[in-house]
Amino acid sequence: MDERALIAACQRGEREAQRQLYEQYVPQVYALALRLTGSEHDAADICHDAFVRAFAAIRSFDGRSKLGTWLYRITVNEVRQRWRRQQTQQRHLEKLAELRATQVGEATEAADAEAVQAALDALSDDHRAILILRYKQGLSYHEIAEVLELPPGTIASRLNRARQALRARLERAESGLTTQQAEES
Amino acid sequence: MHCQQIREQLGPWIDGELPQTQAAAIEAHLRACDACRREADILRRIVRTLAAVDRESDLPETVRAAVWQRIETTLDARQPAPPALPDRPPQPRIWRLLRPTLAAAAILVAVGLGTYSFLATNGPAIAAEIDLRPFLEQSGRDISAGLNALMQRYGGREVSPEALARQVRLRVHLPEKLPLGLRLDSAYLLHMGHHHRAAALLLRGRAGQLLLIQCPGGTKKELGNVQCIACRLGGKPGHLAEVGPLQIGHIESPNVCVCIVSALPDTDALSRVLEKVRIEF
Repeated sequence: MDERALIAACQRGEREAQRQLYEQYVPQVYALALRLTGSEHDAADICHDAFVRAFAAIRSFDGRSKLGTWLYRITVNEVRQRWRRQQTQQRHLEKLAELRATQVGEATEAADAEAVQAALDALSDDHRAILILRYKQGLSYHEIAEVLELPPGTIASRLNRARQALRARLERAESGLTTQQAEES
Repeated sequence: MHCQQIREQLGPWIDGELPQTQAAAIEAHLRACDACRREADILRRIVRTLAAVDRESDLPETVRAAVWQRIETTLDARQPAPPALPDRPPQPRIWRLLRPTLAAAAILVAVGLGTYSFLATNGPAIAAEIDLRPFLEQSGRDISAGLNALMQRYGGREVSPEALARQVRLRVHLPEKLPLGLRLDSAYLLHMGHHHRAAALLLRGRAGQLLLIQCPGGTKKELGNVQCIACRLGGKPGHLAEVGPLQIGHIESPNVCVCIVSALPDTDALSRVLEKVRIEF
């Protein structure tokens, strides 16, 4: 079944088509949810909520955006709702990530990766989301604008701010390490 | 263009989002400007590392099937005009789940080791199931003896409290001061199935020992409107049993399964400690 027929069948509420759509897109939806939340459990829950919402709303899907982009938008909205519900947890995660960021090891590639992941975890939700959509999910600026429901012209500047925030976190972690090394020597 | 203008365009340039003429202007500037070229190198390195580093994001087959099953259940139950998805219930303090059981002494079930013979005996441990038989076979009053057996069963390794704190997906919180002078003695990471990590915390104090095993995520089952994680210790929230000299408790909540093995003197002592432990999600 091609995608247009699949969407039409889902719009008629055909369960087999819904299952086929789920099977086709759940790996990407799960990966995005996992990257945004850092929790396998939350990612599975978000997959459930996102697909239920998608099947409820698919009659309004008009094909102007790609189906995958539309599903990403729903997923990001589900994640945002969860973030709002779990603000305490998020603050805690950020604290943990900051702790990790201050304990980054030598400037090897592995340490770079660790530092970047830690810094990414410590960013604000908005900054983290836009960086993940661009550099993990590989979305174009135009697609990011659709997913986040933002004017396309603002994506470059938002990404700039997010990259700057990430860089500032990394530099802060690095300077903390340098101070610590100097004290130890 | 000035350096400042160039630097504002470096991100889109690296991302390949600039029209060719603008990209060419950036590249010409970078050939002539060491500072901007250095800036571009830093940015490129951050972006490349960001793209390369990743959490494992493969969807386990069991999770894929379980999520679809939940979706089908939800779709089947939906009315033609479905309401908005309900919010999850507020996350409880560990004590709130246990309190009703502890308060009702009649529910406190005294069982012997033999009672656990119903537990499955073959096959590897599966996600989010904690089989305490190896523990119970080895431990008398001394929890740490049984702990070694449990670590072997689940590939556990001792970690520092700092390493434990760096586990983003495990949120373990213990206040610095606990009743009965209990302090964190040792912490462990265990593997529950393919993608699930659990933490085990051994607390020691003048009054005895307490072991907490916290297992996030994993196989879930429905229990009323609360999604619970399967655990072989018990099927009910707040389940508490006496096994020889030990009290073994089990708490399920939306995101976590906590198994409690207490060698504290009595239920009141256990209650006072658990009241101070906070589980956040």
